[in-house]
Amino acid sequence: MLSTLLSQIVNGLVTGALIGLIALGYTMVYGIIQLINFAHGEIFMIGSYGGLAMFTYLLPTAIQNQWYFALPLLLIAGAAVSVGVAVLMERFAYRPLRNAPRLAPLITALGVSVALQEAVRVFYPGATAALPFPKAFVEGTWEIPVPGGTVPLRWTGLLIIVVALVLTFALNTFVNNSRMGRAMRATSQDRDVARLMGIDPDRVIVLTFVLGAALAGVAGVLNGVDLGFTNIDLGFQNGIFAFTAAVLGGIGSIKGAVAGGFAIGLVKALGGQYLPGGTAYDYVWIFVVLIAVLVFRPQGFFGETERVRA
Amino acid sequence: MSAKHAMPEAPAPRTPSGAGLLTASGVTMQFGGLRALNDVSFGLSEGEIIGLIGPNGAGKTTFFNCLTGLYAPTSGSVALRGTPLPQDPAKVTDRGIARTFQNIRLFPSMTAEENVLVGRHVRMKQGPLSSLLHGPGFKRSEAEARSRTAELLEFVGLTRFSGELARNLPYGDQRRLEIARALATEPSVLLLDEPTAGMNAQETEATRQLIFGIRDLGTSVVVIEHDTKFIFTLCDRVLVLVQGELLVEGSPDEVRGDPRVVEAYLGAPPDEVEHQIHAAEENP
Amino acid sequence: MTALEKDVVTEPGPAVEPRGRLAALAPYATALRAAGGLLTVIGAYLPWATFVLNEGPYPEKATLEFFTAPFGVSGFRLHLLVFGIVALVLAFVRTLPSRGRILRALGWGIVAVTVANGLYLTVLGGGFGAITAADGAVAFGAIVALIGGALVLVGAFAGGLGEQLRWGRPLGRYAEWAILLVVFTLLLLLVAAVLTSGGQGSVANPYSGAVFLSFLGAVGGLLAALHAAGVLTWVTAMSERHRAFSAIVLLVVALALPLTGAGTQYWMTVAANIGVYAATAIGLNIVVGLAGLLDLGYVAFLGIGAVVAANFSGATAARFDIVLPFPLVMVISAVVAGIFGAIVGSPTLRVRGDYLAIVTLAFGEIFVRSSQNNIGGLTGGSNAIPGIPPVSAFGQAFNEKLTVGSVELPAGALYYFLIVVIVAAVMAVFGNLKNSRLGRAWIAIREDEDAARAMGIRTGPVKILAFMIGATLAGLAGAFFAHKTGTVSYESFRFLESVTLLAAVILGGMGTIPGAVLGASILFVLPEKLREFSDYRLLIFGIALVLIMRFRPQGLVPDSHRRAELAPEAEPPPPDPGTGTATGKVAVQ
Repeated sequence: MLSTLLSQIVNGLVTGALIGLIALGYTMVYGIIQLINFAHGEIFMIGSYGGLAMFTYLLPTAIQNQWYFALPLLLIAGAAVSVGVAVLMERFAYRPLRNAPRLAPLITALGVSVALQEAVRVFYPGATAALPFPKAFVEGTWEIPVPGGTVPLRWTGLLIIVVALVLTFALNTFVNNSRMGRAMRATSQDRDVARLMGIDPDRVIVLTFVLGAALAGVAGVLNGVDLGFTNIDLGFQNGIFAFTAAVLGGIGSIKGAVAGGFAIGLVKALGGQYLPGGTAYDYVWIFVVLIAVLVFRPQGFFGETERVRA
Repeated sequence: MSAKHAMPEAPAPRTPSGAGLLTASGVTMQFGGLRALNDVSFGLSEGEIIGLIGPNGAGKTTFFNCLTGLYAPTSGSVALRGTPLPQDPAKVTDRGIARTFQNIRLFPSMTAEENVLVGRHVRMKQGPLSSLLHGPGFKRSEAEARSRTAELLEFVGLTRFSGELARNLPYGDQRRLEIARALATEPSVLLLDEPTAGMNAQETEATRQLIFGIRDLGTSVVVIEHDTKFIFTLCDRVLVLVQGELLVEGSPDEVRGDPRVVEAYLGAPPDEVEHQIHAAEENP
Repeated sequence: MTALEKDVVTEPGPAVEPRGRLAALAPYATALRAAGGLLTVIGAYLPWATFVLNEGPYPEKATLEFFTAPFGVSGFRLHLLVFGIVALVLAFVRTLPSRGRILRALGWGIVAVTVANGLYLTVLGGGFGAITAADGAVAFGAIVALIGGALVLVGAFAGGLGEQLRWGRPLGRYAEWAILLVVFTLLLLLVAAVLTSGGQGSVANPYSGAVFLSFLGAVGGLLAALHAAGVLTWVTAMSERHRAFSAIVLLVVALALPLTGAGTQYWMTVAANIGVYAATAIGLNIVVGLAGLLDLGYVAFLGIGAVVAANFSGATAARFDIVLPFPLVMVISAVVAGIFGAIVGSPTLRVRGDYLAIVTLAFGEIFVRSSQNNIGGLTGGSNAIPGIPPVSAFGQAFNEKLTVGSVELPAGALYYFLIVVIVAAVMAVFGNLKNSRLGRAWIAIREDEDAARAMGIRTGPVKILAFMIGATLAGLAGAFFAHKTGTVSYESFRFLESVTLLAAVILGGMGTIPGAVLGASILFVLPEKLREFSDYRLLIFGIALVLIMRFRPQGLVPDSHRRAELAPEAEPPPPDPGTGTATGKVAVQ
């Protein structure tokens, strides 16, 4: 059953790349303000609706079927909507609580999460049920021949993996080499010292939310393209998975988040295939991994930062 | 007054003179590349007040943390009445060592009385079931704890603040409350980490009298303090810790006259050493 | 809800700043207050809508047709009239030191009542024209009353709030008993009135929400005014002095609810549901409020209790063929939930803070997923476990009517009695534990875990015990829940329910009993009343959560500790705080 195994690995990698993209937002925000931004999953979900709105209401019919025009526009729209919502969220929900006890921002994040999901359900036409998402990429599957069968890889799945790796590389370069990236790292080490060095922590924090939201928005659109539909409850699930990935990879670590994403994707795919209970229990395995990691290795497996918050 | 503890393997810099109640032998604490304590030994006898002084970052608080089980020393051992102490602050307190903290760590949203009552925790005979049912046993143990608490509050002079939230107390009174809370655990050794920091002369004098009073009740005391005048007029013996090493030990007069102490203080290491230690202590 | 937030605690916090800004208006304070009161009175008599709503006149005839009974105002207009007159009188009473505070309370009350009704008219009447002018008809009632309320508020702040009144002298024991008896009876009537105000929300009764919210605003304003006048503090102190008496009277009063206007099957069901969530919220309050451990999967314990009870109930889908008596089932449910509580709590040995919150969330999700998949055939999966028979004793099913002598109790009253007893027991557990060695250890851990350890507290077992006891209480409530609703489905125990329970604890005030009860009541009554807004329910809920954390994180009934901190000029709290705070306001459901 080599082909089955490899197929599941491929599935896991696709899911994992997507989760990794979302996990980047979690890991950066937590790295800087130690907030588990529960609403980040909803930012991902909103990105998919942003892309959908672009396609449905703005895109001229002429280019709807030409993916090389449509897809970039969808991605930009998804990222833009996500970024807009995230900036508002940071400004009006989180920033006033910057010095509050830690329980307060966490509960606020829960509230924002519920509110965003419901806002889409109530105000986006037809969002009370799953909405079909345009096939804004090459349809079809690449059948990779292996001994004893073939391994299917959807072109959209390949797209997700490629985009995730490229964006992670870009983000990593930005954080390590740019001036703003250095400011981000400084702020995550010690906000007060960073302020003394002339860095405006608020700007850095907004930038962090913007970057995370843009990646989540792109992920939202890609997920829609891959699945062929989108739904308001996708955010919460994937958000939790992404958080697990971020912790697994070592919170604050960019490479770790993506690696953690792949790990979670593989657990989901292989656990659903080989562990008792089948796909009905694949989520349960992810939560088991989450608990085990938080309890036994809260600094994750790529703990390049020494910041341990347990 | 005989030294009951096992002598350290390595030749100790000096034999702890007043061993008996609490002994530390060759305590070394390593944080990554930083050696915060290096082979520190000392002994405390019944009814003694020992002062621990040294420049910032000399490892005084680290030493307290090793004595109370908050840190596990890299090597060396700590024993109370000859029995090694466990690596668990709760158990150490149960065994009879109580402490205060350098940055006051009261329970801010509890009243002064409740803070001291928490100190009674280890001495109260009240199981969860008794807590739940409030039977006669409960009433007895509560009454006992409350009367003991009232005594302690009176002892430190805080009776009038009994029902006040800890965070609303004046700074000096917070330090006294912390002492009362520590005394509530009925310690045989009390460790005070900078008990007069931020106090004026009058409050400092009151604290000195308080510590004498504690000693007279039969509790031995170890005090960390920067105010050398305070230490020299309070303590029976003074230990000078510099860069993690025990530099001088002796009576206040001996220590005061020792040229090494003067030099250590004047040539105190820059603040960055302190920074390193604090950074390391946050992530042991 | 603004007015309600003010009902129990009046803190100087938000008042200080506007006072500075409004200081320039101080010379006109009396004029402002008087004008505000007068405008409110006028507003009460003006028409409120430019049209006759299709269901007849808007509640209390506040439409253009009001002239049919010009001075016979009732309902919200009566509330406004009373508030306006009192404000008008207070404006000129110079001897009362706390009149600024009382006026502030009245001002918020007027604003709340006006906004609730004005908004409804605007929404139902199709726009702003409904409360201003249309087709030559004008209806400025809402606008005038709103301006009146705002003027009262501005006047209150501008003239200085003054001190809260204190009524010191204790009376004789029997006098105080009599007063408490009267107060608690009034409380019962008030609770019944709040619960039933507006009636049952439905398509046929579109104004239930308006009437309810308006009434809530009026009651909030009234309670806040009473608090400012020192009455609530006085009564609370009195009930502290007679704690056992107060507890008994409160229990009796709570049991008497079926005899009031709320004594119908519908309200009994609503009240019993509130009871389930109140009991669960109190259990959660041990974990979150006392021990400071955030539990985001807490509703799973309610679910575990319910599943256990369902399986021993004799329902067709039950896993076991054994039918056990209900009291025994409650014990088993509680014990099983408690064991799971210890398991879920065990990571606290290593994990702290928000990571612990995530661990509990994960456990909660595992429970939901597993029961969705009918794990071990225990949960019925997506089919749920239906057909759980009602509890019955002495041949009397708890969901049916009962006639005792000449009194006929409505169906569901027995369940209501049962849950009142359960809630009372849970309150006793919470209160007893809070004022004990264990409770103090929890609070110490919440305040500073390292210092707690240095005081000799074995934090690990103590924290696990918090989870265990909290879960046990939820399991108890779960057994009741299973029999009362007759169906146990994983749908009832999803993440959102955990968040709602947490919100109830926070909204009410962490670490207090009345807080948890009040929070649970509000969060579970509002949806019943606001059926026509059910689509927006969760949206409003989410936004409300954000706003609470922003503007009133200490909740409506803060812990007496924190309350003392908020009002430093107050007397030091009594030596034995805690359950005492419960007595005064427990029944403000």
